[in-house]
Amino acid sequence: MKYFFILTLTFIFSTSLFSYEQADLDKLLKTKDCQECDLSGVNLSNKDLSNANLSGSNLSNANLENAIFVKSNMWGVDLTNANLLNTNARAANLTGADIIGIKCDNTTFKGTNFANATFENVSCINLSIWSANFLETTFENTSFENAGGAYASFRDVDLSELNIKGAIFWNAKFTDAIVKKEDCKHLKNEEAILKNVECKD
Amino acid sequence: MKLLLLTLSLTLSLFASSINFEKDLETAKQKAINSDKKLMIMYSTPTCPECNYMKKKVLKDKEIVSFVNENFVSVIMDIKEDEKILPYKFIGIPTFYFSDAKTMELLSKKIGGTREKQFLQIVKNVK
Repeated sequence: MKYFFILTLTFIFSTSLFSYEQADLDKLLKTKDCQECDLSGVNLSNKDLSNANLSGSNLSNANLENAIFVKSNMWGVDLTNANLLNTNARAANLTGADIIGIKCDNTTFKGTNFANATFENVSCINLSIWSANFLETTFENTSFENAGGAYASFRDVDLSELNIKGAIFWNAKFTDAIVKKEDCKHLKNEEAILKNVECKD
Repeated sequence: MKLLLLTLSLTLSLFASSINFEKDLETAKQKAINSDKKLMIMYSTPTCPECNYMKKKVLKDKEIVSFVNENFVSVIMDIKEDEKILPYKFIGIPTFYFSDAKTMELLSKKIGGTREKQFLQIVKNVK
């Protein structure tokens, strides 16, 4: 009986951690405007949320597979463990977002703004970051291997923990950045534009 | 004389430094039919970074230029300006369509930017 009680409590607690507010979801779907909403664990797969305002919302553990967030304002969103497979977030504003442990194969972030965002434990296949902006963005255990990133801009960033092997960075700009020595070589081969870049061993 | 001019233009196209893009789809179709080549249609916009990477870097590659000019008649279509006359639906740009000029049957397509090596393989695989 005691164990049953503990199990029930654990179940209730864990589901409440990943459960969104139905009122918030209704508001988002109706108005495309849901700021500081609790959308944790929500299923928005295949939804078109272009130009939506989701600033400050909690989208942790959300399923955003195949969803469209073109030009959406996602300032400061929490995307911890969210599923962004095939998601299109072209020209979205992800300033200050927590991008931790996301699934991001075939995800489009063309022209997306990642200023002050945090990338942690992220590894994407076929990621599209053409012309994206990374200003004071932090990277920890993150891989953009073979990503498409021509014309992207990296400024005031430490890329020691970012894997950029094989990524296309033609005409991408790296300013005031710390880059691994082998990556500096790669960036020069890519004809990236390097200004005040420290090539670190 | 005609044959000489044709041979000369073909030879020059092989040594061109860039792909010879025709001004519009109809011109490209006619030229492709007359020269028994396939069509390569690129959907693009002037501000699309991925398209510009393809135009300014990949499509300048000597081997690609030579192969494409030899086997295709090419045209760039602006998805906004040419919106009403686009022959195929698209989901993103750049998209490259390779088609039979007479029937406009789609032989293959490539969505998105890619490196020179992969693009060369794609154009070589068009049948």
